[in-house]
Amino acid sequence: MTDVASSTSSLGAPAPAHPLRRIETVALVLLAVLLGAAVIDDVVRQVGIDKRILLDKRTYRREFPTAVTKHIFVNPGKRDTLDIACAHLPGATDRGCLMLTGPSQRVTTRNVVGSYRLPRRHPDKYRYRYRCAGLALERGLCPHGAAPR
Amino acid sequence: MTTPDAISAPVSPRPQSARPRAANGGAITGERRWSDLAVIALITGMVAGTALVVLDAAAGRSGLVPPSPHIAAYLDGVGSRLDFPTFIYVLLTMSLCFAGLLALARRVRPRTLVAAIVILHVIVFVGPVLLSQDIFSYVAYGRLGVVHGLNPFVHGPSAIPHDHIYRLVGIQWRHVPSAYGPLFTLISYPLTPLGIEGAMWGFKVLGTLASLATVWLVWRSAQRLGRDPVLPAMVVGLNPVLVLYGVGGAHNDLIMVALMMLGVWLSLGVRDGWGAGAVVAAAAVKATAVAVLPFMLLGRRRSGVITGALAAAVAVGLVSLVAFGVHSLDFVSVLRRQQSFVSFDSFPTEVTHLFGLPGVFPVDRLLLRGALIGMVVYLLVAVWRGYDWVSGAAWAMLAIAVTTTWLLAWYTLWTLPLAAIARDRRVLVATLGVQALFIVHQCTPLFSPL
Repeated sequence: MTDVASSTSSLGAPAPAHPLRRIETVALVLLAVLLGAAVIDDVVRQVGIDKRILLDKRTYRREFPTAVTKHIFVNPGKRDTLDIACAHLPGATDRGCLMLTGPSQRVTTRNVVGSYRLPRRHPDKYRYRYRCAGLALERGLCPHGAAPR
Repeated sequence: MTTPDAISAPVSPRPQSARPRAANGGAITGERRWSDLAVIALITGMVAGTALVVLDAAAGRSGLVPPSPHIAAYLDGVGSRLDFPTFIYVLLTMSLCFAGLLALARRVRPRTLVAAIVILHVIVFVGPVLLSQDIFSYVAYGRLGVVHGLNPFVHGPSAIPHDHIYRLVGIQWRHVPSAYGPLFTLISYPLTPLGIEGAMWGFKVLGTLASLATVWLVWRSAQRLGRDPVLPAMVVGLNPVLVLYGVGGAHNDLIMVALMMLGVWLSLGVRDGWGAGAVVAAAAVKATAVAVLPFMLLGRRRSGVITGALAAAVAVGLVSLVAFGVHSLDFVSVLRRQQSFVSFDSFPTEVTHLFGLPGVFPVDRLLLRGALIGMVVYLLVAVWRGYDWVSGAAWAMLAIAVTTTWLLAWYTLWTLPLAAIARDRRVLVATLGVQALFIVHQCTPLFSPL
């Protein structure tokens, strides 16, 4: 860093800024712009994800009207807008998961593009999935056709 | 070019004030009256906002107030439940008032400022613990050692599941031994016999006093540097993040910062040995403070820094060895593990999201570490060549906060007092900018439909 003292002469008149100080300041401004853009982008991104989660839950309730909204767990896609919503359905012995995609602006629900089932109390991992359909079947997300033992 | 000694040499304790005086023999001009009114209005806004948060938090049942013993029950019934939007609106209002006060800093009378700082601290002190469960970890580590005879550098709170404090500690910290320095753990021991509530009050007293001490040290350091102390003291004492997050959560970062500033103040007064010793003591509370030491060493270039630091390190080491055995250094490995954590508020996480990545990967950590080392080396070289060492230390602290993947609000306070008295004004602007970005990121739920 360049000493700020070097930017004023001994007579108190402003002296031309040290070139290194100018470079540092430019670098700092660029870093500030990057961080500022990252923060704003993250706020917008998170709000978009929250909007998707709301629509995902609404879509899930459309497919399974007995599902309790607060028991629907949505795992939003990290690289794309493909979300997975799972819930315990009243009376069922397993969990139903839906793969949801599509826009989240000016719509009331999203598109269901696949589904699979999970045993109760098991994490959403490859080895536990069964009864894949749609995109889940295409992507080979299930090792089992039926429920695993 | 100013030499390092000339930057930090002691000067007259009563610097020439830069505050404007009325030309007509002190008569209050219209402009002065308006600025006085504006200052009072802005301070009132900050006090009212803080009071609202504290009173609402005292009502309990809020996600912003950790489940805890009801230590502020006497405030029950005054406020209503603190919800997130209210907190964010208050935080934004306080930040705007704070910005306004910074703009009017030359118009703020020292007595008004001191009164405002003390009032804000007292309001937060009398309320419940805000926004963090860390205080329960502090109490738990004390209870591990004093009540249960276990070494807090070996065992986490999970070793005492039957103790009531266990349920109050944050879930992710229950299995973690102490990541704090041995000096802080020793400080927590005498508070343990007071019981959980008593220890909580003890930490609140320590945090509040440490914060006020930091403001005082910033004031005195600014005077030693020949500056008007009002703006630096205001930057620290009225800072909304310090008041709500730091003092509100009774964080031990405040103790670390107070000791660190004690070291800086002593060093500016040419008591380099004691100054370096205080910085080592700060690092024995929380390790981050050690980053100041090489800047002090290169900036002051006096043997006293080395001897003072070594003497303090030996003293702390011996006391720790007696109190905790060889495990007192285990907190270093805990800290290393903690560096692998990722918080949503950290800047690296946000930057990776900006570039379309899902989060921070190990390779990113390597890059961040490399960038941090590069920055610190650049700063050390600059200090060696005559750059203000306080500014260098402030930049280094800020670089640590910006590059860590585990950023919490009170980590932005590490830089604040150093930046407030730094000769290079850019570091103060950068520090306040980082805090502003942190606050903007907190606003996400305001726009969320959930």
